[in-house]
Amino acid sequence: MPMPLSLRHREPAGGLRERADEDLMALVRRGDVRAFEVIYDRHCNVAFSLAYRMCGTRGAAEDVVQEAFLSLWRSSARYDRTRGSVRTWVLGIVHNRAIDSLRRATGHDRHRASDEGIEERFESGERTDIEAARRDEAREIRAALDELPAEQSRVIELAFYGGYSHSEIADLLDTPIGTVKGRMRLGMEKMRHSLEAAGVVVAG
Amino acid sequence: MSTHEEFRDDCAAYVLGALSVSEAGALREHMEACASCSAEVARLRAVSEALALGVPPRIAPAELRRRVLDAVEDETALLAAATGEPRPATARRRFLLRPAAGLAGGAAALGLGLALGALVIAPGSGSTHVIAASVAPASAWHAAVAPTASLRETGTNGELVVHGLPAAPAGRIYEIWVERGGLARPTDALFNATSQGSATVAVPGGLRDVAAVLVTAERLGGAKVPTMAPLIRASLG
Repeated sequence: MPMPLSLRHREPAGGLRERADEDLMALVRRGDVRAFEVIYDRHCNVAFSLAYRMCGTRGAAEDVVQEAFLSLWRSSARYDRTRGSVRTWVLGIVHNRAIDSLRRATGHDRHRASDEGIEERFESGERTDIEAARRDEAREIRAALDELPAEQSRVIELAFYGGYSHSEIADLLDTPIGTVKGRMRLGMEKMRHSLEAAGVVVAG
Repeated sequence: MSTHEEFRDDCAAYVLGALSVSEAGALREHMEACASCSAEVARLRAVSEALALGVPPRIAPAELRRRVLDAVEDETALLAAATGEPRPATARRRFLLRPAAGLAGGAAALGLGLALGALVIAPGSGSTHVIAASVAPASAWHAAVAPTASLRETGTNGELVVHGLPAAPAGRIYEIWVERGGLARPTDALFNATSQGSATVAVPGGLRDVAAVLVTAERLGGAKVPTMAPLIRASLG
C-alpha cells in the first residue's frame, strides 16, 4: 500500500539528500516521490550521458532516460542491494532501454547513432569534486578502450553502445562470428587488466 | 548443444548485450552449473559496467527532470485514484460505482478516443473466437484494481475486451500497443473505459503475429513510446 499523499512531504529534502542511495530506494519502494527525486538528481547525468552516447540525439536520449526512471519508479522492489549499486542498476536499465530504442530505429538512424564524431556536448560549467571525479573516471575508461587494437574496440563499441548483436556485427564488418566473439573476449580481458591497474575496477 | 569452451567464448558477448535471446538464455542455464563461466561473467561484467560510465559527460536537460517527475506524479495520482479507499478489497467496487475525480476529463478523452479509435467490428462477419488473455500483475495498481482482459478474433479483425478498468485520470487516455518480435509498437487506438469499467476496442492490424496487446495510460493524443509499464498485458502466448 503506498504512503498516503499527505505523509509524503513531511521530511525536508535536505535530510533525504544526506541519505545513501540504498536507504532512499527503501523509501521509493513505499511510494516516496521525494526520495525518487533525490535518486533522479544523483544519477540523471550519468544516465543521460550513456543514453546520449548510445542514441546519438538529445530527443531519443531524453525518451530513454524518462522510460528508465519510470521503470525504476515502478519496479523499485526489484532492486537488490547485494547485487550492485543503485547507479549500476540505473545504468543497466538505461542500457537496455537504449538498445530497445536503437532496435526500433530504422537502419539509417541506427547506423548514424553508432558513428563517432557526432559529439554535440553540453557539459556543465560546474566543477564540483564529484563531477571532477566522474570526469576523471570516464576519461580513464575511455582511455582503456582507446588503447585496444582498433578491431577490438570497434566490436565492443558496436555491441555495447550501438546495440548490435554479434551476428549483426559480423555482417557489418564482413567478418566470421567466431572472430567477432574472439575480439570481444580479448578486448574485454585487456580492458579488465587496464582498469584494474588504474583502480577503476576491483581486481577479482 | 554448445560445449563449455563455446559458452566460455560467449561470456564477453553476453555482458556486452550482443547475444541473441536464446543464446543468452542457454548461457544463463549453463552458468547455473558452471562456476567457472559464472565467475568469468562476473569479472567481465565489471568492464561492461565501466563502459556505461566511460562516455562523454553531459548534463541532463532541466525540462527532462520536469517530465520525469510529472509522469511519476501522474502515476501516483492514478494509483491514488484506484486505491482511494483504505481497504483495497472495497476500493474497486467503490470505484466502479463512483468513478474517479478525473471523470470529466476522462469523458472528454473518451470522445477523442472514439474519434481516433479505429474500426468497429461488424457482427456476423465470420466466426469469432475468444482468446483468454492473462493480465500480468505488475504493481500495486493491479492488486487494487484487478482488471481482466480477453482478446477476440473475427476473421482478420481483433478486439481487446477489458473489464474492471477505471476511467483514465484527467488529462490521460488509454493507448493500445501491440507487441511483435519483442517490441511494443504504438497504435492509433486510444480509448477510455465506460463508467462501468469496461471497454471493447479494435486492435489495429488485427492479432496476426502479435505476441501481446498492451495498454498504458498516456497523455491525450497518445505517445509514440510507452511512458509507463503496461497496465494491461494481454498475452496471446
